[in-house]
Amino acid sequence: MRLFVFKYIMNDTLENFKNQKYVNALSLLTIIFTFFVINIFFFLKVNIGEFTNKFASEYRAEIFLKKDNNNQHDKLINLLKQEPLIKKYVFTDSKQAKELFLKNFPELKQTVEDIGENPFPSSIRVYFKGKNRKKINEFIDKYKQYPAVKEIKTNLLLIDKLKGAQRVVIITGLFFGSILLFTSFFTIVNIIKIVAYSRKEEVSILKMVGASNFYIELPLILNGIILGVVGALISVILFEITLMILPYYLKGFYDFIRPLIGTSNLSAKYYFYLIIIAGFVGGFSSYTSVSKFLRKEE
Amino acid sequence: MIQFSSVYKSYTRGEYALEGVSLKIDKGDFFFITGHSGAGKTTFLKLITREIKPTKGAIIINGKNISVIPENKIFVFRREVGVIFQDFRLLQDRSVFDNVALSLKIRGLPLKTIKKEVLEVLRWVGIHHKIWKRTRTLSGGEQQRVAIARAIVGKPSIILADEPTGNLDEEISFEIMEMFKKLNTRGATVIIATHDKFLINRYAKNILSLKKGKIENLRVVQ
Ligand SMILES: Nc1ncnc2c1ncn2[C@@H]1O[C@H](COP(=O)(O)OP(=O)(O)OP(=O)(O)O)[C@@H](O)[C@H]1O
Ligand SMILES: [Mg+2]
Repeated sequence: MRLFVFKYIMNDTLENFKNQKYVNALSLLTIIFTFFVINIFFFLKVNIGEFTNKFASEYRAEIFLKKDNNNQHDKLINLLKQEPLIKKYVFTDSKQAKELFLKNFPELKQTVEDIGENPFPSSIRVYFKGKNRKKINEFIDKYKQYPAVKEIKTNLLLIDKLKGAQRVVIITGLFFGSILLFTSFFTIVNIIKIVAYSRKEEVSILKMVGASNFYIELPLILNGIILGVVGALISVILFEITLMILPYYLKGFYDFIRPLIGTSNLSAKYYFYLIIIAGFVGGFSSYTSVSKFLRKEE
Repeated sequence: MIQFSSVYKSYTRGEYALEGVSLKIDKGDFFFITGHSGAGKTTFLKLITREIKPTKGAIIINGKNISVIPENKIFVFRREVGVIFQDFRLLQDRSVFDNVALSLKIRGLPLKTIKKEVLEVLRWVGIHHKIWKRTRTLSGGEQQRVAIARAIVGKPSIILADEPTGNLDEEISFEIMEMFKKLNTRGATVIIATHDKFLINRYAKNILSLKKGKIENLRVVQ
């Protein structure tokens, strides 16, 4: 195969685009929409995932202590030290708790001062080894009874909710993503069919003068690949622009949700794979179309 | 050499467009096929290019049974055959150059070479002054020249022409026939399907007459 063939094939490909610019534009829109929606779902998944990692990657409990019982506190800590279930613990006395709070919310300083007495209890944060819920619950039931303990809070429920949310996003994403991918697939199949039919006469002439299937079919397959790649690329650009301008439109609301939805953008690697997959979908669709509508022989 | 051995072709069950045709056409032959409309002339030519496959029988060309060449390899063989149709089959919206260049582009020749060879062949058929015109603006005789140029620019060893003069007036018909004669003296096997008795009387040496798909008469002069 000589190099010039590729030049002629590229010319044919561009010629097809020019001749069928409206149908091509239409299918491009479908593809952009498809991958835009896929981007949204991946974005949600990544950010919920990040949130989960930040707040709920390991099981832990906050043991809030009753006041002014230093003796009891030390006893409890000694007990915890011997617990095989506990990986590590961090003790925060009420003074530290107050300082930490004021550091995070300096504007509430006055309110805290107004209360007078330090409202923050001392606490011990314990990190569990492993994820055996039964053992963790037994541990909590046991220590709840302990005289120095006021209350124990775990992050088990939070973990469940985040996992549930992530699952919902993944399932709806898969559902809509695959429907849209199928839509794109059929759109490309039909667009290529239209292009192939519009070139029917030329194809029969090409066959007669001895063009290889490669020469005849590659422009159509490239057409599909280009639609996929360009469509995905535009969806990526549109999505990034949306992320950039969204804060300006949602202002207050966005400030509120931003810490909740996390800060991860989709990675370059994700986009790279997205575009590769889009190209593959485009190529596969057009190949399907070509082998269905072009390769007929009596 | 082209050899048909008891070739049958049926488009619709029970009806034969060609029925038990056996013959040999030698390399370098100037060969005519004649017969009434529907006799099977076009079918005969389409079998040679393998646009269609025989229902039964074998077609051996240059020692190869072309029926068994896989679909994705047949293009190599087709480059050996130049075809000219009665209705020209040109791309009407493209220039004369584009139409003829097609035969060379598919071979991946550099554009410079293609330009040179296309111009040369257009000179030979006498249409080079219209090289950049769209084919739809040409007369029938001019279009036929373009079709011939496209068929021969790749220097095929076999040239097939289906009613090449059907749409042309007498004078131009003779010019076209002279071209085929010249191509033949250069070594190409030329096969022409026509029911023009006048042309046959004037040019035909070897001739196959078909009648309803069967050989009515076969005249081969050694
Ligand atoms: N694609 C097809 N499908 C069905 N029947 C066909 C097809 N092509 C040709 N035939 C039939 O086969 C027979 C031979 O047709 P063919 O075209 O070979 O005749 P011909 O000798 O070239 O006629 P003409 O002089 O009119 O061109 C005819 O009866 C025709 O109707
Ligand atoms: Mg015919």
